[in-house]
Amino acid sequence: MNHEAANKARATVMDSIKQALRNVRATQSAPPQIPGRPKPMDSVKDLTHAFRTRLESVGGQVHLVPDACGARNLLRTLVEENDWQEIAVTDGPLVAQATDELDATTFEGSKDLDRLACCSMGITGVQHAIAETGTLVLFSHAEAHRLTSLLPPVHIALVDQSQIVLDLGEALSIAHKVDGGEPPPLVTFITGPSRTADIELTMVTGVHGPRELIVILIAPDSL
Amino acid sequence: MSSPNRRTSQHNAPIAHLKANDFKNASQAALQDAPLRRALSRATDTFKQRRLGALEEVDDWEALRTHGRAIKDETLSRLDHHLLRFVDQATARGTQVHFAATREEACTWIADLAERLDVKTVVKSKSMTTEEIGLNAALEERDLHPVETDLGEWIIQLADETPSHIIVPAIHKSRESVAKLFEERLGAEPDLDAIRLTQLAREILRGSYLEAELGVSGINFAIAETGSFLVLENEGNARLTTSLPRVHVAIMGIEKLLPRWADLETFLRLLPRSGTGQHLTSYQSIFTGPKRNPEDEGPEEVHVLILDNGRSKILDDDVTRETLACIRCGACLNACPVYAQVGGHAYGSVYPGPIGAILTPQLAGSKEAVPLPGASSLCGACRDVCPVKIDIPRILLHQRNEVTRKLPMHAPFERLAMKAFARMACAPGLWHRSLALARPFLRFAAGSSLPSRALRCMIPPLAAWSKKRSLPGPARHSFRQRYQRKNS
Repeated sequence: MNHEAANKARATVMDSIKQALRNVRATQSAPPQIPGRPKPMDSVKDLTHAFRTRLESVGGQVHLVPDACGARNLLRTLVEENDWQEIAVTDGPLVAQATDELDATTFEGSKDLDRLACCSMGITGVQHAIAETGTLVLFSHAEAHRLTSLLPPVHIALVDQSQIVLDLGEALSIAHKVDGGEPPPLVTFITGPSRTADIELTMVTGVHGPRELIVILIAPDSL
Repeated sequence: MSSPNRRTSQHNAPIAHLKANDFKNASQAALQDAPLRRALSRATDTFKQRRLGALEEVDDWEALRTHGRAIKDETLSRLDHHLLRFVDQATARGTQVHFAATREEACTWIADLAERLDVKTVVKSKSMTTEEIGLNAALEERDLHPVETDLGEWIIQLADETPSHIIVPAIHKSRESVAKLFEERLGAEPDLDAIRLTQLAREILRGSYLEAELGVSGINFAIAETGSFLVLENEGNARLTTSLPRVHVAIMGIEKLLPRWADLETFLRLLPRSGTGQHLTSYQSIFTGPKRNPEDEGPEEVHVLILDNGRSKILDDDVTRETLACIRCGACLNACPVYAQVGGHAYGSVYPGPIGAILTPQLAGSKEAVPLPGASSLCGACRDVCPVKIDIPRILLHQRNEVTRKLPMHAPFERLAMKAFARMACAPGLWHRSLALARPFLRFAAGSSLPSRALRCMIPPLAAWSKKRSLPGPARHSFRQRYQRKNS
């Protein structure tokens, strides 16, 4: 469609809408109080517990560790147990700390797509986590985890307890202005592994994204 | 089942593959299809149960529904204003926004873009709007190669069929038939189980994502305030479709808008619970423009195509306007006793079930979908489960009225009979006297010695009615007579 045709389509559609609404009075704005929000939680411990319960209920695995050193040890054990050879990592701050003593090759997932498509596991940080829904919140401007959290069959996410917020509203309101007063190009919410039930409602994980989602949660207040 | 073949595309109808006027034959065929009915009842029962479980967690579900509806009403009443705001805000953040008045315009625009970019393979994530416009057929006609990536959509693309449910498009297919399809079309080993079938889909489609330079997605919600839009899914195919190709095109109907970013909160609590009974689907992606420096990942170009295709006509009608509040969750399909018996293909439209019964005639014109407003028992279950409280039964009645008025072939006898009935029913004295007179005759006709025997009428207009329904003969005494006797 050329430029003229495009303008014409826009004019046609907008005119039809204006015409349709010629006798319609604007209804009032929806009230600002949003119903359905969870009850506030007082402590980091409660938030951690809620997040963990929720994520586990949809098949995510959550491991609590006391500190960065604990995260590093756990990661080393997981890598050994599963015999993961090629591991994609991101530039996230927690990731560098946790992966510096691994018995496997690591590479930056966002820089090498071919390698990323064949590797055994991807490790990323997250920007926030949501207690209400057991959700990981990823901002694309903050860390290059768009594909590292998606292409490998296993996604390990490193989370600090201070990143957990109460509910969807809180996470959305942070995302709204986080990139210099703007939303980032991509906000991703992840709640559990990739799943489908398209064949006779049989639940199968790992259809297009990761088959396993493992969260290593640094949570000194919950141990 | 009548053949839900894709190749029957009608070029001039506003909905692709429309065969809604065939509802009577198609539903009769579906009723004879035992495996289909087993699959349907299992699916709809499962979704209904899961939905109820998911609602229990929400403090005040009713208030949440009311709030969601208020946001939609607010949007629709000033849709022109919100759309222009969306265009301005999206454009300011690097998204290119386009409009299409009809489905042909939309298909042509996407095919032109693919040609301009010189791409052959187009990966698609699930989008009812692209089904409505018949995008795949249009792209194939231009020698392009569209690949559906949602597992259910891919299955029906391989089988050359149309979706039969808004959320689970291949719900009508058994595991055996999918295994057979994969064996025939892909050379898979015979009789694979659901896990192996899914793995095979993963392996094959990975190649398509990496090869495609254009990804097409739908839009669940668009935000006027920031020019952003959100896509929900469980599989991760939408994330891949919108991350790997160089160009991302998202298509939406004009009604998909929300005024504010903060409005997403309410709809993220409403939609997954109503649709699949999940508290949240596995993935939500909120897009605001193409990748920005210094990002390596993500599309270089993002386009949003805004489609009218009859929606502004719906907006123009005070009675039916609320149809546009629909967020395509599919809850009304699962709740509907008619859908549970006949399935999606019987409706002959990409939009089946109660929402399809009201949406299809409005998009395509009532003449193209005469039987659909009648495909309901008016039980009201659809209205009760609707997350935005659309009064579907009210709109169905309104449309039945329209159909009867516009199509005079039903008219003379029915109109006369209804007039006589109305007159009688409005005069209590006449009503009781007529019933008292008719009672012995009706009892005789039904066979008075067998009270369970149903009335069968052989006179032509009523014969057609009583062929499919049983009307029990009346009792010896009416309820009123017995009530009076008891209290006297």
